[in-house]
Amino acid sequence: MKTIGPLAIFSLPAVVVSLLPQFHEILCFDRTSILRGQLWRLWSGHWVHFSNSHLWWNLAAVICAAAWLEGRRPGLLLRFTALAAPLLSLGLLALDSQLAIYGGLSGIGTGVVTLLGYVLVQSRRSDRWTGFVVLALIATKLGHDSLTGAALLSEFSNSAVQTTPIAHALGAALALLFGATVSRQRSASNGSMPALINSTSSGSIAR
Amino acid sequence: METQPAPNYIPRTIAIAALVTLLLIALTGCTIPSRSTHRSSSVVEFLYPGGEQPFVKPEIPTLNLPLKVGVAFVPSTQRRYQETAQTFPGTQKQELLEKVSAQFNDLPFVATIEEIPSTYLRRGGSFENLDQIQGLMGVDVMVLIAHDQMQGRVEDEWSFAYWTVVGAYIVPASKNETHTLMEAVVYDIRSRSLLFRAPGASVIKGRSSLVRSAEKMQDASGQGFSDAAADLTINLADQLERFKIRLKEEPEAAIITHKPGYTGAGSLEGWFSGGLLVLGLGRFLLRSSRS
Repeated sequence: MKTIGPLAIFSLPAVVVSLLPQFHEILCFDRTSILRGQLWRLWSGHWVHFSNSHLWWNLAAVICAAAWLEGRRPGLLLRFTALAAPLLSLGLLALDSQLAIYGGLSGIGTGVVTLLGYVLVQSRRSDRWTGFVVLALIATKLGHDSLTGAALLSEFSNSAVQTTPIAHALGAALALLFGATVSRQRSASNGSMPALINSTSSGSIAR
Repeated sequence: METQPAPNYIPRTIAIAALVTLLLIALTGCTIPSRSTHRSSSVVEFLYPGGEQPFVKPEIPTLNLPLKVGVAFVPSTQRRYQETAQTFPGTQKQELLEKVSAQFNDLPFVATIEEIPSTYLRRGGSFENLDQIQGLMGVDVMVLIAHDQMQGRVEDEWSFAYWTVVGAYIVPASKNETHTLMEAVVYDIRSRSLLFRAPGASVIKGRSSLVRSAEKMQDASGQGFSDAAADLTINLADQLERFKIRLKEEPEAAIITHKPGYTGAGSLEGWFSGGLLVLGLGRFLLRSSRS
């Protein structure tokens, strides 16, 4: 039940924003506006979607991973999201100079799934294999994006909208960096115990 | 003195001449030279006017997304353009252009479709003409539509060959048949590469008597264009689907780049979401069974 709050904070804005398309213009990632100082777009842009199918496919993956992650490591989801959202936007600004407008939760979503994989890999032996499978799924997704170009042909209601595979790669990289940083911090504070083993739910520790 | 009326030679001369003419027509009717009507416009003649053989350039096209696509009819190869215009009227052409445009409009990587006026294309204009249109209208990819129609009116068997960009299409024919062939070829203007093509064909068999033959042939001509256009539309939809699949499965088929200022979005496909859901569900069921 504790997971519902963070999960709602994470996913509900996307649904609300999709119901209020008049706000898309002031919320989406817009290179020119960001450079003029509208910094909230660095966060809000990720919750703007260009079509219902775009929203629901993203949410289907992201909610599943977010609920799983929040169950394993309470609090990690929102901390990661708050930090990764602007960093991902800044990364897009720096790495894709052609990109003028961006929207969608998949960059953050890829990060959440990667972080889940990282957490699982660092936990008990039985979960470790699940973590490897999750990370393999992410690797397949990134490989699929870059090698086949399939993501370029995703269906959006607006034909001028193109997918941005680099957002997924950035999300995954940020998640690995975040996971490693948190691990190091916690292991430093807890002695030599690997941080993310300690941080599983109390039931897991008892076993 | 009784005067004799002068013999009337003139009517007799006319009568003899008429008789001879009738006899000639009756005797030579079956050997009148073939009367067939041929209306055409050809992509090959437009792009390769000097008799060069068409070829597909090995250069990999660069598709700068989102694409601006132009759609146009290739100019008629006939000097007597009016004859074609009578049977393939502007309204029918416009209808076909709109259908083709709508099909391209459904593609996620196409931004706009421009219907290029026929006056912008000149006979034998080749790629230089397309370059001019690109400069003028800003289109990246051009859809060229061409047609060829042959109608025979005698018993002789005849055939015609239509040069498509991928080779000759030979049509055997017989009396009163109307053969119509249409072709839509899609070129990347910058690389001059053929992206794909789609054909459309129609055969209308006629049984009209000589008395109303011309009128019926005219109707058949219009119907032939209409049927071939419908066939072309179906084939084009199929080819567009194949092209989308090819871009996915063969990344070497085209280099994909983005135009400055494009709108991007992050998207997680169904297979990824599904995979994650199956994994989560499997893990949950496994833990439930253990506990």
